[in-house]
Amino acid sequence: MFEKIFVESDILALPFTQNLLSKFAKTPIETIDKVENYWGRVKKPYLQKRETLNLYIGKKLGNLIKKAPQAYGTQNGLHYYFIHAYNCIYECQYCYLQGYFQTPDIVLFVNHDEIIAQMKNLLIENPNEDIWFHAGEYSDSLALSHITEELPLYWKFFKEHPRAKLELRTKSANIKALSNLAPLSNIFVSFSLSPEQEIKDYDLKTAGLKARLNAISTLAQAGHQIGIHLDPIILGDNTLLHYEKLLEQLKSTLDWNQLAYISLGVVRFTKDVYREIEHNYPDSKLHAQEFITSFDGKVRYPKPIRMKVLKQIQGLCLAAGIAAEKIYLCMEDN
Amino acid sequence: MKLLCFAHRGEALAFLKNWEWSPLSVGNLEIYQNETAYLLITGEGMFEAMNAVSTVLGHQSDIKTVYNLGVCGRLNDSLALDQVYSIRTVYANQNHEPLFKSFTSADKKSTHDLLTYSERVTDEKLAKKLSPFAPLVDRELWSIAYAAHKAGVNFIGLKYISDNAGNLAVCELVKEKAQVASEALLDFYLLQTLTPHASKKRTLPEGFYFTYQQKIQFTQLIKKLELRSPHKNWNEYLSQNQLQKIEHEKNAKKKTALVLNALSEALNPEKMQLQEKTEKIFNPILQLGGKVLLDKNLETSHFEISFPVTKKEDLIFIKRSLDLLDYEKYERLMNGET
Repeated sequence: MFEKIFVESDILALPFTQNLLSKFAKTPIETIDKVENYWGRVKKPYLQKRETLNLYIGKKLGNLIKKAPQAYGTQNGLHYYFIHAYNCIYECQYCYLQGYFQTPDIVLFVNHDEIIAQMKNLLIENPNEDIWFHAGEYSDSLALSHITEELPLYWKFFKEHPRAKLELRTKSANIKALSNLAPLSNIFVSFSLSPEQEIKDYDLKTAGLKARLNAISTLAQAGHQIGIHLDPIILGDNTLLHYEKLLEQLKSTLDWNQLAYISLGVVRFTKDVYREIEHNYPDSKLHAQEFITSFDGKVRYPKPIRMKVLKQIQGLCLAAGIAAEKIYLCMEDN
Repeated sequence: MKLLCFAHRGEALAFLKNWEWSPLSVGNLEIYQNETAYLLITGEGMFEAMNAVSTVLGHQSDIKTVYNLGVCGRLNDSLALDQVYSIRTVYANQNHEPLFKSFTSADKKSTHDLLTYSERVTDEKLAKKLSPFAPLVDRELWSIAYAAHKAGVNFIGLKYISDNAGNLAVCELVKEKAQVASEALLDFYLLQTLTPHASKKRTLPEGFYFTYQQKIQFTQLIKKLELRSPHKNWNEYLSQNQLQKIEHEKNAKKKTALVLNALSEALNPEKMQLQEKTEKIFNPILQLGGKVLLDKNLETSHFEISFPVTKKEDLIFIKRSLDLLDYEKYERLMNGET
């Protein structure tokens, strides 16, 4: 999977690091002083992740938890995301990571205890609020979880702090790490879903729709709380028919009572990301679309078109029997 | 034309021997020319190489690709000695500091990266420190790639691995291997440049009149439609109804406009529907000769209306047409309601 592993010398002896390294016995390992002295110091083209993807293991300094932007999650409570990794093994053509970092190499941070300490502080500072902590802002939160094995630490913390809510966002079907963890009412595993053809066209190297639906079914049967993100919605031929079919497939997989929420979002990019997509995927169907620069400087479909498709898919969700209060529009102005 | 750059004459020997070259006068540079390429001896190091290549690129406007051919060292043993590799991405490090910019070569098949370092790497410790950035090291490629990038031309780096970086006797080793390296580079270069490239040509339909702008528009529309469903002729993207309309139109210019409009609709039916609905809403204004200016990106419901007024009665008509304008309907349309 990785061409090389670079480990900070200070954390080399930690059991967490050693455990991680033991999973890659055949990969060459080099010790380095600090991740930031190498990772992202030179511009490494994004698609080189296909041939020469490196892994960096280090300790995250500075802010480990950040306030999430507006409309990031459900309407209730405060929303934060925490940073335990940078970059992703998948290759979604619209992914903002390709324009966000200067390298596709993956970083795994080992100081989960410090992330949890900061979560605790936030709960103390906000005694009357529910606080959501989202994983997966800079990486897929389950894709490597069977290797990184940090989830039991978070489970312990969230079990003791019901006011804190954890969302694990994923496009994988890798639920191995969850199989030994008892469901908690404040932990939500949320799957980003698109219709089958759209996953094939845009979500390169991710789990296919069937695999994701199977994972949802297994987790739901085990009693885990499920969130769904129909995001990003990308227009194409027969978009509505595709989403209608997707919702039918989801309905036969998941009892809506076990669905905690479903978010809808239309594809959007920063200008930098859009340029990267043009460079990395010149033959992508994304370029057969007409985008504009919208109210916040992001590249999107014109407002009447994106609002129309959001409302139409919201209508499909309602028609499929999902309660209105479980549906929210993600990253939209209204 | 290609520009073949070598740091030293020794690295260029096989190229100089195998083809006939005539000297060319560009400043004080050692440069030669034949029918298909220029051959430049840049001198060693980042500054020498960048200056020489920039000068030539500024002087000879017919250069399409810049090649840098030469020896390099290896920073670890992941690649074999005495082999030629085509470089994928080149990074740089100057005075122990990595430089942020990197450049990726036009050879899409290559998978090996190289770091250009500002000095000779004669210390094993330094070699180890540099190895996380790339497995290979030289002293010129990044500068040459930078000059090519600024001039808007492609670059390709072909490097013969002559030694392990960190070796003190590196200069002698490189001199000893120059002849062998040059021949290996020539073989690799010939093999690479003989690979044929397929190109795709889109032809314009016959019986139409296309202006230059329309030709570009047509090509772009077809290119976008091909991303969705490839291997079709232009008319296969259109409905029977659209094709009939086009066929019945006798005027070549109008026929072209119909084709472009139909292709736009095939590509973006949502946008066309929106346009039609908007026109319908503003019809009372348009019928009276009024002009409507919408928000360019339709991000807001803001619009401006102007009317020509030549007599008092015009004002009455304007008032009537404004009364007929269904503002709520327009707002609903802008908010995605159908």
